[in-house]
Formats: sequence, C-alpha cells, structure tokens
Amino acid sequence: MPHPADFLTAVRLANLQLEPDEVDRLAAGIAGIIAHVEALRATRPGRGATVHRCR
Amino acid sequence: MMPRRCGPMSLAPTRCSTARKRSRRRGPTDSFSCRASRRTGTTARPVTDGRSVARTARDVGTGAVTAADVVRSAMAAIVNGESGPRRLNAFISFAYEAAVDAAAAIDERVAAGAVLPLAGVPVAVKDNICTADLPTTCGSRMLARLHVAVRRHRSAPAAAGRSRHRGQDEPGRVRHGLVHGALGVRPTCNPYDRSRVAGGSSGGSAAAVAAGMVPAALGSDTGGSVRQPAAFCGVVGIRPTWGRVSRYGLVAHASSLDQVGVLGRTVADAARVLHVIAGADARDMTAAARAVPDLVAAAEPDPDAGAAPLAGLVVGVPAEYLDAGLHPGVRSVCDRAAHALRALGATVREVSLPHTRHALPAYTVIAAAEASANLARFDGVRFGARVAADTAPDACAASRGAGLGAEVRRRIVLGTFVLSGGWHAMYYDTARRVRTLVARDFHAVFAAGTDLLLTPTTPEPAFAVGERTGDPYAMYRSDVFTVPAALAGVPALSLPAGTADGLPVGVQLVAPRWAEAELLAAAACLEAATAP
Repeated sequence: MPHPADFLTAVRLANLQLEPDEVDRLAAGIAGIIAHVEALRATRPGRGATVHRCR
Repeated sequence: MMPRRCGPMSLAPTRCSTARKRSRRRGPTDSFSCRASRRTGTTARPVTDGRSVARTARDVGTGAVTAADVVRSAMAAIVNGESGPRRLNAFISFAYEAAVDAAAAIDERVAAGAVLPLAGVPVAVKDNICTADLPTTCGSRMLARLHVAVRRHRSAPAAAGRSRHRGQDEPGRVRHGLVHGALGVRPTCNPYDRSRVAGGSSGGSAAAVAAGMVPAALGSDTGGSVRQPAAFCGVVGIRPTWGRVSRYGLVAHASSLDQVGVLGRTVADAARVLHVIAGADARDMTAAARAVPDLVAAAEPDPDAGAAPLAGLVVGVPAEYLDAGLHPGVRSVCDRAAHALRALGATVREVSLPHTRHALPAYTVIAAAEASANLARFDGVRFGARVAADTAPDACAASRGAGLGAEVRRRIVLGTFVLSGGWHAMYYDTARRVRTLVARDFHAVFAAGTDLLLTPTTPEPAFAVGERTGDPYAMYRSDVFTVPAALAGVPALSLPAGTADGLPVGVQLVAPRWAEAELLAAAACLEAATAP
C-alpha cells in the first residue's frame, strides 16, 4: 500500500489548494479506494505480446 | 430567460384504481406508484399528458398540434414539477424563450412541408452537453459562467431545458453534493420516492423523463451514468457503442469511456432520439463513419413475428453477475426477464465473463486517471472561475481548490496518484491490461454464438439520499454491472422490468459493437412482454 505521503505529493501535482484537514480526509478516502484496487495487482495480466529471443 | 417558479406543486391526488390501468412505461403513475405513495407519503404523478416521442412528432408533423403548444405544455409541466418543497430538482436551467422561438420555426418548416423526425419533441439535455442557448456548468461552481455552442441534435427537436447532474461537477456516480443554480440546493430526488437517489450522473435526465416532464432526454455514460439512473427511476436508458454518437460539445471526463446516451419512457422513444443523434461528425474524429441502421424500425414490433419474435436469438446470462451480493428482489426480476425471453422464443443460457470482478477497480483507476488529465484545463485561466492570488500558480491552485467539488477533487488526486512516477506501472498500466481482458471476455462470448447478454443493471434498487457519502467505493459499487460494458465499448441498454422493495428495477441487455438495432429490437420485445 502506498504511504500517505504519496497522496500528498499527488495533491501538490494536481495543483489543488486545499485546507490541511481536507487533505487528510482526501488521503483517507483515496487510501480506501486504493485498498480495493490492490486486487488488480494480483491479476498479473500479460502485456499482450509474445517475445521471442533470437540471435 | 428563466421562468419564474410558481407556487406549491398543484398535483392532483393519485387515484390507484385509475393508475393501475395505465402502462408503467408512461411513468410512475401505476399501481407501484400508489404503493410508494402510501408507504412514503409521496406522489409522483406525471405532470404532462404523457405523449410519446413518436406521437408528439406525428401530431406536430400532421398539424394536429403545434410545436409551440407542446413546448408551452412541457414548460408548464417542468415548472410545476420543479416548484414547491417537494420538487424533484431535475432541472438546473431553462431556455423558455429560445424553445418557443425554435418551436415557432419548427411550425413554419412543418407548414412548408418539411418532415422532421423529432418535430416539436421536448428534450432535456444533461448539463455537461453544450448547447447554443443555455449555460453549461456540469453543476459546478467552476463552470457557472461557461457558454459554448453546439448544434448537433438541434435540427429536429425543440429544446426544453437543461437537466441536472446528480451532484456537483463532472460525471461519475451518484453524488450527494450541492448544486449551484436557481432551483435550490437540494439533490435530485427519485420520482418514485423523494427520500431515494435518482442515480447518477444523468439523474436529472432520468428523473425528468420518469416524472413525465419530457418524453426523452440526453445524458452521458462514462461507466453507467445513463443506465444506472434509468434503472433507479424506471425508464429506458441506452449507451450506444463508443463511437456511434459524436461527443462534440460533451465536456470530457474520461475520454476513452465517455459516450452520449439517451433516456426515454419506452424503447421506441429512446430509439427515435438515438437514430437522430447517431452517425459520423466531422467535428469528432472518434465518431465512426459507419452507416446507421434504421433504429426506429428496429424498435417497432414486427407484425409477422407471431408468438416467438425472438426465435433463434441466443441470450447469455453471465454467472459472475448473479453472485451472493445481488439484492434478492433484483435477482427475481432478472429471473423473470430470462423467463420472458424464453417465452418469446429466445434461447437463454449461462455464460462466463471471468474478469468481471476486476472491472470496477480497473475502471476506477482508468476513469480517475483520464479525469485528472481532462479536468486540468479548469484552472481559472482559460476555463473556470478565477480566484485572485499573488502569483499565477497560486491563483490556479486556489481557483481549482475553490471551484471543483469534493468528489472531483478526490478523483483528480486519485488520478494524479495512479499516473505519477513509481505508481504508474503498478496501477494504471495494470488497469489498462485488465481492461483488455474484460473486453476480450465480451468478444469471446459473442464470438461463441451468444447474440445478447442479460444482466441486472444495478445490484439493488435506489438507495437513500446520503446513505453512502462516507464511503466512496461503496457508492462506486452501484455501477459494478454497468462498468464492464463501458470498458469494452459495447452498447448496453437498461430496461425497467419490475420492482423490488417498491422501487423500480432495471435489467441490462448488452450487445456486440455496432449492434444497436438488434439490441433495441430485443429490448422492445422484452418490454412488451414484461409490461403490466
């Protein structure tokens, strides 16, 4: 799981001026969403291409 | 000009004995409505005469009524339904004078012999589709003054008004935020039960159609924003194939998913409007240059079909959609719909879409990522309200912080996060690959001989206003059955097919890409079979 500081970086990159308490609420909400999205990583989907080693 | 609100709604009391005789497809005036009224103390009686799209166009086309009369009637219905403490809050703005002028022009063209497929039909337009006469705000403070013009569907109908998003800002889920605007700050109510949500984000369009204010409305569907409110409000909602309808003038949210859709009281009404707006557009390179089949004829009953109009049709029911989390009442409605399809001659069989459970997380990541990019333009410089600050970057950040709503801010930050270095491959790239797998599931099922899929539209009927504001992912889950078709880009339609807990329940039909005609034909047969 990402660290809450990573969400703070995203807030800065998103160019949003927010109150500190709202940043905390936002980070908590996104952490909850990411917890559900974590299941995606377990799918390990392929890249859709077959790579052949050749000489 | 905004019409002044009149006094409290003067709705006639609902008469159950009369209402039971009416078709449910005319709006929430049937026996169910009476039950809801007794249970909640609400009435959802339509405020118009219930003319269908076809009948309105025919009557105006033959001169039986004038388009001006239709517009006046519709506006009276809208003002009536949007007045008083029990108003629906389906509309955010009107263009009464422009609509009257357009109606007069239509009457002149009809008198001159012009044949117009939607002559005089009042159509509500979601507040994220730009028009010539109305401000486009997306229900957001950020865009309260934006004014852009398009004219795609304007050649046929007389515009009536601007329907609301379910909550503030851009499309997505059911939201509970407040909306600026002249009609107040309450969220859009479900016409069947004012304490329930209308769905989102095309909830205003769905509520307006369900309450009989307009016979049809335009919405937009990113992950289910047409089909989910259609199911909650008991109307028909269709999301066409991605690329079937031009998105010129649609405020972009998630561009690989966004599609304009139609809401109507019947399948035939939705088909008539879709047929007008479908097709290539030089202003939108993603609108496919493919011939549009006769969607109006497809939705008409075939008099020669006999008792088995769907003979030879193979309908698949994905096992993954009928899991333990489904509301028992919704499951029962789906079972009855499958039974009705069998009775119509179709072969119904179980199929598998194995990656369904990963569709919602993948959609959440992709939609947020694309939204964060699309909404970057609303910075108070070129677009959006500006907040003064000492430096340009500070002004931009302050403008975005003040103008964008809470749900949009959450999505922007989530999207920025999953696109940022270190997390991009972990989340965004994975989500894109999962999307491919979800799309392949659909293509494999259709390639194996299944013509259509039958699923629930939502896991449950409309939930209470404010019930899920604290858990955004719980709110996202109401789109769990509509998101997969959006990821795959295939057309899907929600059809009211019964009730659960006294609220409308929709079933969803999904077709292969570009098969809207087959989708509408099957939906029209199922509609006739499940109508009370």
